[in-house]
Amino acid sequence: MNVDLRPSSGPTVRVGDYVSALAWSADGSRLAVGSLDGTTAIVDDDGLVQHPPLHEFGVTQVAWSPTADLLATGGQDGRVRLWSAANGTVLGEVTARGWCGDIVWRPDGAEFAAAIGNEVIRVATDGSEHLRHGAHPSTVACLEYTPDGRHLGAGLYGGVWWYQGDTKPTKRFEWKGSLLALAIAPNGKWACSGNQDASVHCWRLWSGDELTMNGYPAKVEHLAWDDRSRFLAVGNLGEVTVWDFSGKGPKGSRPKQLDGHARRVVDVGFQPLSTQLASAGADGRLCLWDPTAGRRSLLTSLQFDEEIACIAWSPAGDEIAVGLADGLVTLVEVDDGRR
Amino acid sequence: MDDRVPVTVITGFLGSGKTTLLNHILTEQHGKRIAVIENEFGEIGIDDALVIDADEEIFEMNNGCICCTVRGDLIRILGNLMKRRDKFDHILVETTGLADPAPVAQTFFVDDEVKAQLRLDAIVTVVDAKHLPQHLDDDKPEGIENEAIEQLAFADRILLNKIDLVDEAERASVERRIRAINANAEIIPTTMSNVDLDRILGVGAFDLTKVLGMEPEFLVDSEHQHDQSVTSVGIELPGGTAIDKINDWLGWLLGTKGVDIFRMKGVLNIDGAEQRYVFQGVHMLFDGQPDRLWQPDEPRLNRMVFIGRNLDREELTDRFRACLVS
Repeated sequence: MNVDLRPSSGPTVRVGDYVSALAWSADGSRLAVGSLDGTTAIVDDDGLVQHPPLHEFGVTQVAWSPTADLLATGGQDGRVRLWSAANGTVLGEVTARGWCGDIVWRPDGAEFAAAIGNEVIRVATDGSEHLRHGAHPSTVACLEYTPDGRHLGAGLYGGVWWYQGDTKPTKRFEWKGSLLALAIAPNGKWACSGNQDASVHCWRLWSGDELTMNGYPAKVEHLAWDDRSRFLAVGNLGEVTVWDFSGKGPKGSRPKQLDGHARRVVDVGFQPLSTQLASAGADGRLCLWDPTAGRRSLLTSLQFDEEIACIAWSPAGDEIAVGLADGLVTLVEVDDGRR
Repeated sequence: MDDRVPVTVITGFLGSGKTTLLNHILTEQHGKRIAVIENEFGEIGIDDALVIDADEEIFEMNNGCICCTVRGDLIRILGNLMKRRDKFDHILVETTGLADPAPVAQTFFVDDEVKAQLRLDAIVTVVDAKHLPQHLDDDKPEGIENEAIEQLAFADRILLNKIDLVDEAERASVERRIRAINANAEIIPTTMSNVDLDRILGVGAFDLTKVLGMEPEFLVDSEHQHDQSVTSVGIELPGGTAIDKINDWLGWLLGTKGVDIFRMKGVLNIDGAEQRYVFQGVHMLFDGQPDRLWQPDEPRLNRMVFIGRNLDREELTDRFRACLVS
């Protein structure tokens, strides 16, 4: 199969510092960019850029509503804001002590959850705070809703705390260690965490059966599931490993190892509705993989002059937005003959 | 050349003069980009410094090392600071008054991202010359560490502050007590934390290749040894060592003494090697590498320093002597 990655002739945008967050609107018409200089930029098809006000010190998160024209942004100023992307109006703001560690929308778009410091705040689409899960024993690093939207998982040092409609957790998956990333399989069967102690830990939902993958060269900060919940990709130091959860699951199996990066992998993401995987490295290389292929799993790659900071697949899977450490954002067209 | 950004850790009890020292550094280093990570409410009076509030989050590592703890908040904050294009020249980390310095130090050994971009320059402990003796004498319940002792034991530089409040005899006595715990750190008497910054910044105390300064008093038991459970032990022995025996010795040392050893540092003469082997460690975390060539006229001495709790000089020395090639 011939696959090609090429820089798009479309609009590019530059923000003042490291691109800390990228997110596409649900219809793929706009891209939100967050930067550590505190700016957010919203770019549309015509290259028109809109700048919501600063998050002093740095933006850490941008997240589009899956169903409406709303954008949530969070920063190192301890603030999380909800915007109308159409006219730039701030609908609401919530704050807590600390940095914003994560923002996730519930799949039905009726609310989003934001982690700030050791608190988790749930915000309705009118910008009002309607639930606060306060004072966890440590900073909440990552959040994820189950696909049915009924449970919200908060990852922190000590495990995953699960919430429903109450301020108190309904369940806790205890685990001794610091969680850095949380990824729930789209079929709702597994919750997996990437951890400071160079491991990946998986819990079966909801039996709580556990599985640990040890022996990574460095802490695990980047996880991604494919849409069919077959593969879990783990980005690490110089490598991506892919675990196969089909059949009996990954227990006792060996992952597929994809070696294409000379340095730290800074992001991984599966193409929507596909098992093709993009990985981005601090070495400036963007790789596209087919983990189902035998030996020739690297389909193609593209080298940038600068360290990559993060990537985001467009909803249609025909473009990858690439944010660089120097603040440049480029679109890369993925031509795989599917379209 | 090591172009990693230096980090200075400042510890000391509340009221010892940490904030005064921070303000002094920020004033004197005006024009440099300095970030301060603060864990205690202090009054930093310098507007252009970046001050980040943090809560000390101590994480135990799941890596089989029983005393390995790191500062989760520091990993997050430092990792984020280093992503910026807008780099800092120096980072200062202030700990709370009652903090154990081990998790801060261990963070620089354990986290790859931190290790790759930042170097721990030195641990600077500020003490109040007048009140230190009573803090050292504080009776702690069984199993609870005396933080004043820990902070002295971990230090590379000790600011003996408020020196104007003690007389000569008190000063001599407090210095003796500090020496009994930590014979390696440089003691700098100050008032109002006013210190020549060259003595505390850019000192490279965690730089493996820096020459190991060995005070003669390391090599003998200090007079206060009997009433201190935390002491310094220095070993200096000539002769080549067998590499396999050294490996066994290190295994024994880290495995059985790691909990008790706060810091260690040394130079080894490995039999058959033309280069010196240098090492250092914090508790069970160890870092070692071949260093420069031995000079033709240089005595090939094995020299090392241990600072820790319940250290048995004789046992450490005998175990090490067994590594020598006879």
